[in-house]
Amino acid sequence: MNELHERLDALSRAGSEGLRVARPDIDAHRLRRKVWLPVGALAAVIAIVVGIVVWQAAGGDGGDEVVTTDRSTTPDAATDTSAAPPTTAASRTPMVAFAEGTGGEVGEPSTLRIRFIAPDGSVIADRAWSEVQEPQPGMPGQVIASRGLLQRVPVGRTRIEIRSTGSGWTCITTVTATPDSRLIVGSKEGDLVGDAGACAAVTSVDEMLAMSSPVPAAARPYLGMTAAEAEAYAKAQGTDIRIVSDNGLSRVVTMDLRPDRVNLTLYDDRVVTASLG
Amino acid sequence: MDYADFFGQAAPGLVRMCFLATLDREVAADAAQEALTRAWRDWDRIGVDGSNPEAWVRTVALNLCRSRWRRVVRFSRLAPRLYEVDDRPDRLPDLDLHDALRSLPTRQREAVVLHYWADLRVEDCAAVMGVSAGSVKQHLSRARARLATALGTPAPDEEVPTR
Repeated sequence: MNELHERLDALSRAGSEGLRVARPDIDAHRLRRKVWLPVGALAAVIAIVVGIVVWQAAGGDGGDEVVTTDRSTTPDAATDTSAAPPTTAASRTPMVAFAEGTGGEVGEPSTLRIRFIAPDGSVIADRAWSEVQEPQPGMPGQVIASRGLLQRVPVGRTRIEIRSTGSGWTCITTVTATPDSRLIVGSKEGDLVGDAGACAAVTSVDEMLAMSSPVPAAARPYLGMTAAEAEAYAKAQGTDIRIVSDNGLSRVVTMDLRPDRVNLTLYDDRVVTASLG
Repeated sequence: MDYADFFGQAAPGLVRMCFLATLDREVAADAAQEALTRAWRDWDRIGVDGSNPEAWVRTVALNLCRSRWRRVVRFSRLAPRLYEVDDRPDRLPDLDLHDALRSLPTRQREAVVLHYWADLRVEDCAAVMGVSAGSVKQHLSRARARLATALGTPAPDEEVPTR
């Protein structure tokens, strides 16, 4: 690894020799802040004054009238979800999402089978990757997968056998689940390395969230929503959204940067993280 | 951190990273410049304490590298070549590695650059590339095998697994 690092380092030095990038004008940056900060402050003051006027015109604080609300018996409190996004209760059933390749890529139907086996040798489930593959309109015989394959597993150790009935490639890995586990197993079928230790990668939603950037305020309302709820919410807000990963399967997406677009990561039909771009 | 300090620290490495990711000097300089300018524009947001502007600017630069490199490749396929471009200059010290990197798919090359050159952990590579750690490991694994074949050397060591 050190040798490769050194060779890459030497190549990068030589390849970028003479290339210079210019620092943006710092003075202009300061000027921009000097101009925009007072404008922002003035706008905030105007907004506060207008708010107070409107509030008083609407009856102020209600004078001496005392209003009490029993939330437990108010129908709207129980059913109205428009004001706040639905919250997700922590899953109490361990879940494993199996993912192969990249979502949205067109290919032949898969021959992968995934068997989930309990410590006593009993088969928890015998699944096929083709379950999540869908025919591609206009391309006979071609399919795509847009999400990973979900499987509930018991708490404790579960052995996962991934086998390609076409090529005979086999991979065996083990996951250990706690009641709240949301695991992701990515297979590496066809990997040239392909030894038992590297034929599958195991990660979790929590690990994924830990290394993700904080969710921007504009994207936070989507957290916990289902895909359908997110679509409806985005439509109401006039916002563009797209699903970039579903059940551990990353989708092919365009790499253009659009600061007003919300990128959603789903797991078990819930948005677990979101970003702008 | 002040933007000027950040620029001084990040700019040289960013240009080099973009060169390794694209193997094209023009695209590398263009993408690095654009990413650093966007960082300057958004510095009030990304330069606050606790944020990671270096990761942010790497992500933006790689996105730009990818889209502009695609555009360059697409254009070069469609348009007649009106000028000569020395895209494999003899002064490069390691043409074997240059050609081996060029033969890698974009994502595999990015993973190699971030992990083996920038020394980022798999998780950090994943954050910069906007993919899962498992996906990065997959790219690295395939890239290692291809590089080993192309360079006629043993595959570099595996990255440290996260579990």
